[in-house]
Amino acid sequence: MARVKPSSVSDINEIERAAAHKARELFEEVEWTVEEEPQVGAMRPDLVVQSPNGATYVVEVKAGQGSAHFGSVAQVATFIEEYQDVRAVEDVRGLLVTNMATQENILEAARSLGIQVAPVRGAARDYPQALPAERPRGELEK
Amino acid sequence: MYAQLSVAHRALNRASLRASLEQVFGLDDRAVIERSEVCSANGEAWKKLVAYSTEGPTYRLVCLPARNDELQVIVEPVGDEIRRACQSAWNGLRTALASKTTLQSGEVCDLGSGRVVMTAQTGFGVELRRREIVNLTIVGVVSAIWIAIGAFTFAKSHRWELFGGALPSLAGGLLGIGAAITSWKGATIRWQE
Repeated sequence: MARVKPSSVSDINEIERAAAHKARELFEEVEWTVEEEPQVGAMRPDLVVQSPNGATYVVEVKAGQGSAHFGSVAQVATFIEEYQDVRAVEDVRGLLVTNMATQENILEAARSLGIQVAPVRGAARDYPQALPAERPRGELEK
Repeated sequence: MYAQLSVAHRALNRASLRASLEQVFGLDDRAVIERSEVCSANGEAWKKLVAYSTEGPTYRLVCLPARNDELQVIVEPVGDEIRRACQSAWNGLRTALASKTTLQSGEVCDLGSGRVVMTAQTGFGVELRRREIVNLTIVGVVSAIWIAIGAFTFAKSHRWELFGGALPSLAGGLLGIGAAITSWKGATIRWQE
């Protein structure tokens, strides 16, 4: 995710879209099935990815300054629930990819909701450790 | 549509935080979480995480402490425009959390996509940068400089006439700064789309 200081709403959305698109390419390189901004009921998450052995992740990218917000975690939880309802898939996990600071309370909230937070602070070497165990062997963004 | 606000405040433990919020917004109501459009997924888990939640006639408020000096708030409008709902919630939060309360960040997000729709800012600098204020202030400041120069050079013998001529623009500048101070003191949220 680019370490650009977002100065407007369009900047923020552009950075998030670019990061989500980059993530799509990365997942596809290792033959995960990827849907970018799929319409899932009334929702449109950034990505829905599926590993070759069938694990499904709803991926949401959040860019900005300061701390990540509980609202972003809640958003991912809402996407997961909608995906489970609409696609009738039981085992869906969440992944929040963010360049924002993540307080311990937010990480705890994410854990309790079955959501993994992937902090991307600009250093490419930080990315793989944060991604799912079935992650692609690469970097989210170079 | 919902808003997420991050509010910095003096250090408070969870119990004190809840008590402060209850004094302004009324008793904590956990049933709000079940009605929330944002936090209803896995509501039982949210109930353990949320420090305070309430619902008034115009908005739903869910408060979660990120740290002991940072509160994160989710505002969902209920039959009201989201900016008005946020302003009302922010006014209440400032009263509840008392001194040293600042809005660190604020965003309105689309629930369907998670995309940011508007960002919020407060502060004196934000007020001064508003177009209608900045124009008045510049005219006022330039006039004041012009008077100062003129009073000691070309208009030495006509200082009052010079001052009288520049009075409307000086008054405009003062009005601009006054309006900025009033909005700043009132903690008006300014939105950028």
